Amino acid sequence: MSIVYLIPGNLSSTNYGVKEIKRREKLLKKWSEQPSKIRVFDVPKGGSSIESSYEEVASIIPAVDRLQELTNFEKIDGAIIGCFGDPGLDVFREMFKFPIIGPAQSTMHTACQLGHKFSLVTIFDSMISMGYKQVHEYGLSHHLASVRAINIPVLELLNDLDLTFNKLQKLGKQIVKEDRADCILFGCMTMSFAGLEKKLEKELGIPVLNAGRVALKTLESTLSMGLKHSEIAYPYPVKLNSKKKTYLKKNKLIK
Amino acid sequence: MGKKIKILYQFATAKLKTPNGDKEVLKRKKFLEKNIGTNTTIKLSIPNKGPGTIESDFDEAMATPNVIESIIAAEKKGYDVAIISCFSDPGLEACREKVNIPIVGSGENAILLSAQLGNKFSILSPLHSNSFSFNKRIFSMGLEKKYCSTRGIGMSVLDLAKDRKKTLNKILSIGKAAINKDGADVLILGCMSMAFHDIAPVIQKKLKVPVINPVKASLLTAEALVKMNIFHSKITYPKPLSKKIY
Repeated sequence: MSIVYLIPGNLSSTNYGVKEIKRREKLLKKWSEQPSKIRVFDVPKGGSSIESSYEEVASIIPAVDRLQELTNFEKIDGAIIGCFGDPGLDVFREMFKFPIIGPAQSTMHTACQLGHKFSLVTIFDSMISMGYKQVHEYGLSHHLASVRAINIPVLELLNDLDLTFNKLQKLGKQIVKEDRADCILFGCMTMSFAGLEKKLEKELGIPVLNAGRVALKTLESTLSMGLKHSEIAYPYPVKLNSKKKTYLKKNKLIK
Repeated sequence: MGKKIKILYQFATAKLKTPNGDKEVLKRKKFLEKNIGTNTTIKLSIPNKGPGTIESDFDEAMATPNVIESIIAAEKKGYDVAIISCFSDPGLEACREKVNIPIVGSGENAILLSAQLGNKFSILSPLHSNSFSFNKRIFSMGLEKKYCSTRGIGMSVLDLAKDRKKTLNKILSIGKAAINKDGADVLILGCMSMAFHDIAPVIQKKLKVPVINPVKASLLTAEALVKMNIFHSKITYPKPLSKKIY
């Protein structure tokens, strides 16, 4: 029995290394109701970080295969895709019967309960339109104030936390004043795991959401209600195997 | 583990004044206590005036001042979070302006959860006439793209609270229609009296789509917000100017 936080890339081989994976696992355990259940994994066949649509798409199949492989070792109750792009959220939900949480989707919906308009802080200017597209896809365009970029690469965000915080603070002030947002979302998991949200919240006076923590709470709530994503919305791919085909048929027959 | 959480569970209606109200309240109390964490305590707050059920905009308007009054008092008494127990969330925005503790709206919270589990949600309400205000609500939440339909099961709130079996059967048949005719892939129980029957798991098993119990969902969100130390945005919900209310 476990909750898997799957980083859809090869974080172990980057400058952050295995110790960063362990650090994130420790933080998730601290936030969790059942710390012993949390496990963090990365994807050895994946890239180092996701900063473009291409890298996002390329990460999906290796990550799905990795989760499939993990299910062979132990029973998994639910999984979080450890990237704010929620890469392959629909794909994962079609493939697995346990709940799959995308940090962006869960954090954006939480933001809708805290205010009317949220802003995302992404990594590069080149990723701003990806942010807009993602919000449209979740049907939350009415709730988006802006997407702004910090312009520090993912793999440098943790090198100098003062610099990262200063940039976030500057962006945050612009977001509040110019974009009129009332809630800020860290649009990157490394940013979320930097531990800066409460300090920034204090500076800006509006909620700042750590997507890792919100995703974990969403998964825990989903599990304790015995819920999972709808199989009508995310049916198992018909052609994958005949056994599953009958399973799908059975589920479709609601008379 | 962790700090103690005090939840105020705010009824919107004068439930104790309704026929068999004490029995219904006791049932709710047991259900609520069963579904909170070990470090959490919950206090039920029930208005002693106002409507006994909320089934129209008029009922909602009559209930709202009682909710606001109790929630202002709750913050002063040191509650960490308050839940408004009615799918219409009477007074939700007003309370968020007036107090600093997080306020969870049972309806808003369930709707936002359902939007994460599928593409189109339907709300099951007591009467068809509830759908008019729910439609308006979805638009104000900006979630109309994910909204499928509201279907009334044709029972009043008091009737459905009395008869679990009949309610379950009605929900099953109307829920099927929402899935097969309207195209819903997630269902929400759009009434607290439905939710307190604790029938979501049965419906989910029979209809094979996620079925959301707004009561359970509101408890989990309330606990999560307190644990994460998250509050409403004071830009969205600024404190009302202090003035005399005549």
